[in-house]
Amino acid sequence: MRPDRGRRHRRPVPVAAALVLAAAGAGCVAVGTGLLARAPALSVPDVAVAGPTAVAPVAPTPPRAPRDPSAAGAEVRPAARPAAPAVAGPARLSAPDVDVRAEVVPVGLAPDGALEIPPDPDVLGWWSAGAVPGAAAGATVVAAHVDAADAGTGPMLRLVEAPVGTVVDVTTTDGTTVTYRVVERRSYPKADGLPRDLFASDGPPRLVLITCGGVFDRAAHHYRDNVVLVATPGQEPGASDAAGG
Amino acid sequence: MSALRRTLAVLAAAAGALLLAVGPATAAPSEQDQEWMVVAHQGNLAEIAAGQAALQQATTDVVRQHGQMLVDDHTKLDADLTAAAEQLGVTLPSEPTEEQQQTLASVKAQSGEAFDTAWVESQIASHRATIAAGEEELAQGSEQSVKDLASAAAPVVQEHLDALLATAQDLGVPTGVPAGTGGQAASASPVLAVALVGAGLAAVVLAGVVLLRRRA
Repeated sequence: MRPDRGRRHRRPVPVAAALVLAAAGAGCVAVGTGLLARAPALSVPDVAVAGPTAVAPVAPTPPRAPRDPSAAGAEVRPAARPAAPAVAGPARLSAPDVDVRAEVVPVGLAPDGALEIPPDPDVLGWWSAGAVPGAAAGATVVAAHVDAADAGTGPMLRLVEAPVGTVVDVTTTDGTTVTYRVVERRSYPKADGLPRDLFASDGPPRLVLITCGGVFDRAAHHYRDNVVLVATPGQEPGASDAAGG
Repeated sequence: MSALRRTLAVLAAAAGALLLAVGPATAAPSEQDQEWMVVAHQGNLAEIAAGQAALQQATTDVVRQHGQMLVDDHTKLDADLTAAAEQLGVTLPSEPTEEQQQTLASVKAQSGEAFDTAWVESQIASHRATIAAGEEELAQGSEQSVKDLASAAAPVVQEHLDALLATAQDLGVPTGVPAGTGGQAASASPVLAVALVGAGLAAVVLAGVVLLRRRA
């Protein structure tokens, strides 16, 4: 009985401590869960605007050839060499309607096969093994972070939120400007990877802009989706002057 | 009158002879022609070196084949170019540019499949630059024999570029675009939240164990 009494003496202290510990623990769990569940400060809307029809059927518009040479008459210009093939990569991208004007740099693949993205969201990366703007065929792929801790949101956020039909001008390193119009917005779960045809070197010429969106997955440390804008070469020049031609 | 006519005829003949004598000199390579010859020659040297690197280091047959193609074609193009340069008295450098050498060194520093991908990427960029330089010569050059060289090289280099772009599709299409790992990922680390939940759960469990022991 004596040992029991001794134990009984100490008993209230551990019980109280245990209760305090339990309460504190529950509090920690509650706060931690709250932090994890908090809505992301920024989320890019998931919108599929046009159907999946927009990319494939847009036929490249070939330069209009006079159907009847005799009727064309005065319009026939002295044909010198054929036009030089487009080989210059993008240097700047602008979308005046949504206040976007960004530098573009060439990027390649990281050893793990993912596209290298410039760390600064204000700088866009052009996949240099793909098509150049103004090429007769293929996808010109430009990607960027949607935001960064120290820089805030970049131009990609304004681009992915821009309506279909928004004009995007891409100026190449040789000063040529190619004008595109956004025709489609899609999003893909990152877990599934991106379809290969987004990067294809054949098919109609198009500009493919890729960034991130959807829900920010705090556990996985990134946005859950890739948001993809597809733009096709437009007829009307954009707000900025089209140099060259 | 006839004396004057005769004098005029002599003067005209002299002027004609002078023009004939000056003719070949005006066809000498312009600054643009000479610059292009240097650029094209260094491009050839760089492509041959890159081709040899592919033959040694590539992991895929297709990249080795590209390497052989570059060695063969650019060796041939360069033989014509150096012969023309000699005739025109244009001095050519003996090595690729510093930048070309550095680019190749960084590609050669890669190994395995990464070498093949980096090699194709760098070759796409250099062939595009070569095409741009050739177009500039065709548009602005003056010496016809030099423009002919640029004209002959154009389809060969374009064919290389087309083949390289196709190969990039086969081995180098991005498998993903990690564009969302900046921003919030960097700013809103979940480490604190996870630590809080973990510590909290541990505390509750510990308290439960203590209480249960007491009851028993």
